[in-house]
Amino acid sequence: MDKREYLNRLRRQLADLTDEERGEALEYYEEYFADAGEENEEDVIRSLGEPEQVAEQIKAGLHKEEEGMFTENGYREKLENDNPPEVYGRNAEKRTRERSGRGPLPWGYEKPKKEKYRQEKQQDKKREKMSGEMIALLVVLGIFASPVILGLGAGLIGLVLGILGAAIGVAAALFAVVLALFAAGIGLFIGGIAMLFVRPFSGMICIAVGCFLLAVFLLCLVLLVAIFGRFFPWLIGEVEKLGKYLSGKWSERKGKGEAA
Amino acid sequence: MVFNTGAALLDAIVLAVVSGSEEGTYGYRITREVQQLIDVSESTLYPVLRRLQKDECLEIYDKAIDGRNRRYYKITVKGDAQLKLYKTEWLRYSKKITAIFGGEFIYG
Repeated sequence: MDKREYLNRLRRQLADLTDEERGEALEYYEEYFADAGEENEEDVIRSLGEPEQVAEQIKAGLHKEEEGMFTENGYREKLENDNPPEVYGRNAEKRTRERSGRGPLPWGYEKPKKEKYRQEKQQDKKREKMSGEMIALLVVLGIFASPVILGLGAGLIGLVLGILGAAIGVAAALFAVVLALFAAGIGLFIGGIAMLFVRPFSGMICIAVGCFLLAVFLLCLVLLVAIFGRFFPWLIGEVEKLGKYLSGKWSERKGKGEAA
Repeated sequence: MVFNTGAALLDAIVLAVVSGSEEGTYGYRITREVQQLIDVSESTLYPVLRRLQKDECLEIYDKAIDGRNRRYYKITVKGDAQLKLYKTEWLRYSKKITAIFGGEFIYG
């Protein structure tokens, strides 16, 4: 079979098409042969396949044109279409035949539902637009608010440091008071003993006050241990938690920003 | 190839190939170029080109070559818009697929 014979057979197969369609198709394949070159004529005939097959594809294409449509979302096959999507490829014919009629639908193929599809599209578009605007807004907001954000951040750090400083100060003061109590108690006690020999009454009062102050000192010591053993670790823990929460929020936001 | 090429993707590929040359290109060359990308038979492209032409995504003109006419296909404004749409859709689609495959490679 040579080129002319091939094209003649194709012409006969396309007899039921309009003159225009038949003419277009034949012209295309005539040109195809010419562009491939005479020396490749046999190759072209072999790879094109039987003229009957080629004619079938041409007719299927014309038929499909009536069913398919270009929507704002691209080419769609007719929405009420019950046929699985057309398959292209070397064994397209075999595969299409397998699927046509009784054959099971290809895996993952879902018949498009008109309304559902439209709604999803609209939502998608809205979402896209929203996220785009949101990003732009956030960027602008970030730029304009940077002094405020920086100021706020610095203020927050200052606040935390201030609280820590105050706590340390209070602790130091408490230490000083306790130390003073101890010193005064010991001093009075020893002074009282010495005084006993000169002025027994005053000496005894001094010893008593000394003992009292020492008792207060011991009480304060217990309190201090309680404060430093429990309160400070608790406070540090709280500050740590706050820090973690804030950094978590930050990275979460950053992640969201990247995802969007 | 393992994956099938649907009608929309084939349209998109053809539009992309045709839009690649400013003065347009012809059937034989389009077929060759598309075949470099995907596994299609020689007779697949005529119906696609014809349909795209009817939908005014492609326009044709004839050019005299070696004493004969050769039909050239050129992308139209509408075809260009259509191609853009396909491109964004494809990007969205392929991103999702790539992401799920990537995730599998990490945890799999």
